[in-house]
Amino acid sequence: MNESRKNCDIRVFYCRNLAEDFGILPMLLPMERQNNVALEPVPCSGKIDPRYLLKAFEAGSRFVCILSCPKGECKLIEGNLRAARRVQAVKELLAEAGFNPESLRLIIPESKDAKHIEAAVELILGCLNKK
Amino acid sequence: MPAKYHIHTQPMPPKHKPIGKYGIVDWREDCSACHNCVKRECAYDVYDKERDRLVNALQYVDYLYECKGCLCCVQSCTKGLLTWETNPEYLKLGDEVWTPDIISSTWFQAETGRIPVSGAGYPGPFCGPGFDSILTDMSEIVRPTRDGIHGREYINTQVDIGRKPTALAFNPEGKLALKSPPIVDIPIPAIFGLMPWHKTSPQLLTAILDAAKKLGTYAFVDDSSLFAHDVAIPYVSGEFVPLEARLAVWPDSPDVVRRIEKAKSTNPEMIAIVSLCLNQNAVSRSLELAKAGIDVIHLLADWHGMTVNSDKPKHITHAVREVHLAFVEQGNRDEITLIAGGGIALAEHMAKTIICGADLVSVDVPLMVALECRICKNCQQGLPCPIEIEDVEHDYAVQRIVNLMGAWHNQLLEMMGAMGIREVRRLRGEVGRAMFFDDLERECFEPIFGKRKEL
Repeated sequence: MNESRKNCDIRVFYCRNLAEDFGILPMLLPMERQNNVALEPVPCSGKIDPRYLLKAFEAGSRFVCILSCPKGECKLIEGNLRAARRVQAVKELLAEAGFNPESLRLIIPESKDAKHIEAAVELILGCLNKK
Repeated sequence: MPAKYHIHTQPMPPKHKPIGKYGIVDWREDCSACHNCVKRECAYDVYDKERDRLVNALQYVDYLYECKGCLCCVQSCTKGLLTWETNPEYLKLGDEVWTPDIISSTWFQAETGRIPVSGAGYPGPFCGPGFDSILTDMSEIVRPTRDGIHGREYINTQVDIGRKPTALAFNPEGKLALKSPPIVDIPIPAIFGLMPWHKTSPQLLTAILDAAKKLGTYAFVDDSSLFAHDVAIPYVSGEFVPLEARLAVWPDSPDVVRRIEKAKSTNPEMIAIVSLCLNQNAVSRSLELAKAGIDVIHLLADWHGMTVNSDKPKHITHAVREVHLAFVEQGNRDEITLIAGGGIALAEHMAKTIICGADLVSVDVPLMVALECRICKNCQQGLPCPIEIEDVEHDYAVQRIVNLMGAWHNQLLEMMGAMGIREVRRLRGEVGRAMFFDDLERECFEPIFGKRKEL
């Protein structure tokens, strides 16, 4: 494993299908060059498990972001919807533990149009710059 | 009976995370937490590993593509919550010849030294281009011996490199009258070739040489600082004469015979190899070289196993078969040794190349894949190597190469056992132990459907 990914302040989980089908990898890769950002591709955003997210915080991440497919575009039909429910659950857990729930963010592009996908990536970049 | 040749393998885990093929996505919310959970039944403990690593390690999502694709859990989950996904990064590995499956299985063999077995059976087609158009005849597999080929049964994989006399002559005292030409025998029908495009540091070459020594074989080396290694076959350029070498290789050139004669005058015990590009003139040039007294010819295809500089490139198996048959026709095939190289990626390719007429093969790119190369070709473009192959750790590299060759050797034994051949030297040119798809198609379907159209 890439040693630089072990202790990252920011983790971005992204759906591989989104990266493949909508060509967002070139947009995401500049992020990985920043030392404190780890890109974590997952087979589907529905693979995101509350344990992954909590583990990411436990491992020292200050901000965790999930980029999923637009609504209705999930290859597994409901992966992005399930990701949204899990993110909500983890946000509640974070709040209960006294952490800022806004340090976890799910970003779903509005549609598969290039401008919406680009806007979603811009949103992540914006979040990263703020952190 | 001589001691059996055995390659001692031992697990050597990768230094970098291998790119896995399959991942499982599960809909946890719908789980009814039943008592016969399929996750507990996973034969490869994928789910247990996930749980353990989430507790202990920080590299928590690296195991996402560790699923072996047996589909047991996907099929058996009573609520159908699990979905099988293929890793797109995996599909992007290599190219149409060096497929992701070849790269992945080579990684497995280098790590474990074991024969790769697919958990999901074989879902692919039964023939394809290149090596896949040759089917080996496994007819003897119906009658396996009691303790098998890894037990008492002896299958010899030793080959000779050098010119062999066709007949013996004795003097009146009954002693051998002719001086036998120099010959080298190696216990596996493979030597290590030069890398076609990888950048090889002296450190990496030393590891390859040490692995070759451990295996009892030889390796081509183009770095003069390593010519003195016990198992180095110096790749000679210019008028250089390798005085100590038992074997040496020259690239083909118009004056190669003169240069070899000059080298042999100072080192008569040396076996000279000429490395010949497999092109449209390969047959005539091979006959010419053999006639001029060259001991060994190395027929080198490109790294995809195709002939070079040809209008209609042929696969290495066809080209080697042509050269082999030309020598058979001349009646001097047994005198010379043919080494074939280029595009040999799997153990079966080694056996199939030998069936097509080579005495042994030269292995190149698989050695780099054993060291976790991803065939990304970054090094060709001057980009950094993702696995920093040039700075490879010596012991790790040696063991990974030994493991790979151990797995290849076992596969060769399995194939030969199944083919009913007990001696790899007898496998050479033994096309009766193989079926060629082109021939089968011509014989079976051409009378019905006519000739296949050329694309």
